[in-house]
Amino acid sequence: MLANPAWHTVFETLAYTGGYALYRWTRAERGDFLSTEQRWVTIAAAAIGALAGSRVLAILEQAPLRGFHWSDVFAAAGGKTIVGGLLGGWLAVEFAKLLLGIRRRTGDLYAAPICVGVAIGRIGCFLAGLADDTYGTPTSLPWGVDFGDGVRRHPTQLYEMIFLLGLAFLLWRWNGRSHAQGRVFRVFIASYLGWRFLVDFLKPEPVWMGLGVVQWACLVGLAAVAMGEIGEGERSSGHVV
Amino acid sequence: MGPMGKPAILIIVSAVCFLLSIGLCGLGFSQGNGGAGALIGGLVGLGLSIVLFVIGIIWLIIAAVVSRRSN
Repeated sequence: MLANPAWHTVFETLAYTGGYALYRWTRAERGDFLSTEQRWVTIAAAAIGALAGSRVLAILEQAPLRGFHWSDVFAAAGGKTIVGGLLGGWLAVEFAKLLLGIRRRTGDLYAAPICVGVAIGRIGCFLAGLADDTYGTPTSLPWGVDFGDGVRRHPTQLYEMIFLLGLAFLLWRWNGRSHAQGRVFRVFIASYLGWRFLVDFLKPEPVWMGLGVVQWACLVGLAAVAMGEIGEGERSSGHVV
Repeated sequence: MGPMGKPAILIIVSAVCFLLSIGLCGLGFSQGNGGAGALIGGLVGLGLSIVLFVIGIIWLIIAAVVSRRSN
């Protein structure tokens, strides 16, 4: 395979553009109970949280090998993690909602667009090859891919792309039907974190206490979703059509 | 759109630029001497996005305070 790290930047740009276009279209199609200003502020909060979360978790991920330094968050080199971005963005939106006095769930509109955005981005991860740390462990399966070092590996980026496109389709359809507010987003988060927890066993990541740092973050996120569901059961939730 | 909308958009745009610039810097580093263009572009983007990000945060805080007082 002819890998080139430049593809990562190209597809990352397309991912943001594609995800945003789908969000705009879904919002116009399905309507929104938040005002445009409130929606921009929650997205800005998500961006701040995602930026911090994706960097911090990426640095933590490499910490078992090279130690953790806060200054690395703003260093030019180094990666980003989607799990950190999702968890950081989610936390920041909840904080912003608290400040703005928004009590309703606001995430359903983002579920399918994030899936599509990440799926597009994963094409870039795949085409970047070994320079991107998202490839899988060696395999003898017929669809194993040689990223340039002569070893056939699990194309975990493509597994994730297929999973996310399927999930996006299901969530997008569900979001158009009657459902409890926020449920679509929470199902998305739980599905993605559960998926990442499992698929990361196929990645040669540094391990801490038996699991990769991203897998530990997935478990924390899944616990947060479960606690949210328990809390939701104790209070009435609005339904949308 | 209310007073907090524009700074919120500035924050979003600068955050996306920050993430893309980090990617460009990584690309520049990984390609050694051949990646000088990507590295310079990434560093310039990184600097600009940090400046815009800080301006956006300050603007948003001011807009939120003004909006709360006028209410």
